[in-house]
Amino acid sequence: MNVAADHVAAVRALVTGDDDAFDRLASDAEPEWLYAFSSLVTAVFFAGTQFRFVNAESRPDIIRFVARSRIRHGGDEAGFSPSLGEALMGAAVGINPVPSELDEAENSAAQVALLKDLAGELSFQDFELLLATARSELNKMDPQAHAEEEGARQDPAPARASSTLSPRMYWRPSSASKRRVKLRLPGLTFWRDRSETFRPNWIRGVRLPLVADLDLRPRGVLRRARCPQ
Amino acid sequence: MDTFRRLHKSQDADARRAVTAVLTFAFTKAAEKRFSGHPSPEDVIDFVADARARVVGPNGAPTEDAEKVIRGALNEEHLLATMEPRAIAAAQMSMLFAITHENERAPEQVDGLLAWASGEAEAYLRGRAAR
Repeated sequence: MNVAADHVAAVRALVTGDDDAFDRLASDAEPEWLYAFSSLVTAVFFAGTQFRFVNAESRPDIIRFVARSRIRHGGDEAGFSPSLGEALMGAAVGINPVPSELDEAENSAAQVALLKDLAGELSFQDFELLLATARSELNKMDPQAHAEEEGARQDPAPARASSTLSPRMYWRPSSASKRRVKLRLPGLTFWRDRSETFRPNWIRGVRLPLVADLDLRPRGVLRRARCPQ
Repeated sequence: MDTFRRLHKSQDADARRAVTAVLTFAFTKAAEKRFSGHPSPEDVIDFVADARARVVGPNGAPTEDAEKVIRGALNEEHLLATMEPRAIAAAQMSMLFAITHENERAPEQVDGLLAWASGEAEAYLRGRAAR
């Protein structure tokens, strides 16, 4: 899998609601491209959840977060059940196993909606850090992609897109949460036979992998890099 | 809840039916009072989340069930059509607990609610038996 800069740009566009940019990038994309893109969405969702919530003690916070997210995304029209939202976030922080037998459309709706709200609470720098970390982790599975990514680090950073991020409060770590300096990203391993996981799951032309298809055993701890101010 | 389960286990079918009726009357009354007027689905989502996070605990009734029984008590009865009776009872019990604990309601108020519900349930069951 090669998660490239345009995959990152597409996730950024999806999360910030930049529909024109998203359509430009994803509307006519090949299955290979969509597979990498959807994998990145899932990886960022898990990383973002771990960034926002620490551990099993966060369960009440997750319940409230999912409820607020459903309200923001239309209540009954949100497209996902609260149980699924809580289970996905709970799986990311180790409260419960990864849900199995997921409905694909509901899984996609939940991940995208919750990811948008997670990102809305992050600073621009923190969100970019999550994107970069998730991309890097996925590319580690592909040496060539990893090398290309390393080479691209010399490229200038993308233009600051804060105007398209949600204008409501950015989440600033409180003094207590400043201790949360560790970011865990699950080791993401996909089935070799992609046909097993490559089932239609369209959200605006994009399909997300089922979380149950991912091996989410933690593969170590990533130290959160210090963002340039 | 443990006490309730223990007592429930030792009851026969008639007694269980009576308890369910009392529970339903008490829950409906409490929900109507708590959500007077026309609460939006968002109000209910917010209440249930807070109840599960703060009062009932996440291992109580599933969120979907809890939201449905509250909205079902408030003129959206069709939401209950697909639920199992056992799930309805569990969610009603859980949310009744949450409503009565929301503002640290005095025990005598809870007793009053249950006494009223007992009377209504008795009348309902008597009427049903006479039919």
